[in-house]
Amino acid sequence: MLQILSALASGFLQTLLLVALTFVIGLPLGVLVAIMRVSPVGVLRGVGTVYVNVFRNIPLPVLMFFSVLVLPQLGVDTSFFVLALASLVVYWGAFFCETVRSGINSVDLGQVEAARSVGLSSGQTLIRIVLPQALRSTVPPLIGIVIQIVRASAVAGAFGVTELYASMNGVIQHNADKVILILFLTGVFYLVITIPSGLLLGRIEKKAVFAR
Amino acid sequence: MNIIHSTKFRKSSARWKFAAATAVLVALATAGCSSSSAGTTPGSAPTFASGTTMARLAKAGTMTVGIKFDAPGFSEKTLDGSYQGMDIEITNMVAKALGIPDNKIQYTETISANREPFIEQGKVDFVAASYGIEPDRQKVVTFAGPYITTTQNMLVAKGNPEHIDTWADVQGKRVCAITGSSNFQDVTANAPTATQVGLATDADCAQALKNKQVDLVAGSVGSMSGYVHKEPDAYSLSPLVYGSEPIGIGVKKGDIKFCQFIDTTIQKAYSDGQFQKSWNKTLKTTTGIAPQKPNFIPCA
Repeated sequence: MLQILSALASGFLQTLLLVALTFVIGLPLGVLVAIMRVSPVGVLRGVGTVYVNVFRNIPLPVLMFFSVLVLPQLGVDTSFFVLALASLVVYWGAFFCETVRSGINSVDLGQVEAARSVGLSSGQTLIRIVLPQALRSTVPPLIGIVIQIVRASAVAGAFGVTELYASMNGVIQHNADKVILILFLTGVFYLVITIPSGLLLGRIEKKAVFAR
Repeated sequence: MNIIHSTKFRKSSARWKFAAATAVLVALATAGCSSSSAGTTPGSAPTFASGTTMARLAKAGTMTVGIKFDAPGFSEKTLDGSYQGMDIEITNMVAKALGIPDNKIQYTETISANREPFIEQGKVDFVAASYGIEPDRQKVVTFAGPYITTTQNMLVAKGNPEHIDTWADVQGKRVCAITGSSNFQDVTANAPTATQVGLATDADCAQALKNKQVDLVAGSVGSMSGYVHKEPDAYSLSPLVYGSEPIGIGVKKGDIKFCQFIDTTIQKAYSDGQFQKSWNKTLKTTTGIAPQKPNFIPCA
């Protein structure tokens, strides 16, 4: 029993690391691409749009297969964890971008007009006036995305990262008489990530909400 | 109520009565046909002691079997939707002995996590999915067979450049196997400093070996020798061989009669050469291993 728990716990830590890093790297990437998509520079807008449309529409396992098994053939020499993380970051970055962009679009046009009339440049308007308001309104959808990332992290188990789902499979192989218990424990471990994240983001949302 | 309305009503009710009568006649006719055809089936309709699984399946005329969809040589679903492999061949032998036609066999995909629950819940009648006989599984499942004993082997790059010949050589190396497979327990026990990498399939592991992302692939002899067979210029087998796993058929715990029936069916097929023919068509083609004489364990 102790062996089962320790195997699941080490898988749990890998999942936690994957999810945390995907969020910490993917969100800034998403904000950057969102800024590109709303910028007045045509080339930046084009690149941003292509990025989002390509990576939102390729299934994650296909992307991860390319990242983990094809990139090394092209000379990229790094660990399985980094390759799997790279595909997760690029994939979820596209979703973060769209969430942030919808937040930007939800900021009242009057804010932009007022900022420009006061003399701020479009860059300053974006960074100082629009983005702070936009990011506040993206917190609720972020909770949903974080939960999706937790579930998607299980794909990495098939690509060299021994995270929670892969650990579960390994433990089941040698404990065929305890399958239901193991599935239950794995579910609990996943909830340990999703419920606190939801609560934390909920707290942030309460602090960030402002009257419109 | 006007006359036209009542006339229509009478006509439509007459139509319905006619339709109902026709339906009843058709139903009776076809019911009569099916019961009469059972009585006149050419060849022997096998009979079994009442209350046994064999009697139940023979009467139902259909059975549900759990297989793997991706174990070449054992049981796989091909791109055109058909099934092939030694497990399928044995399933067909059992079906023939029960008097069930091949096209009435329902195949369900069983993976490690749902094999035992499916048998316990009766969702499948038996599991033939390169199913390894292990003590913790024998607690919840009764095993027929085994019909092959496989070893675990190591796949290395052509010519074994890292000279991986013993467990000591595996220390510190990067070992690839299927995510969650039991090979990792052996690696942890025998070469604790080896880095363990789990990928989705043996094919991915073989690719990672080619990419030099791992140093060796650990897997069953069936799969590993299959790769050497397919690409002898890219892969070799390491002399390191370990683990002997008997592969059998899983039935509901305690169903001794059905277990013995399957054993007898396989034994008969071996005596009349059908077993070897099936083996050569499946396992020999994918792995190069010659037919082994089945060495049954007692049904328990």
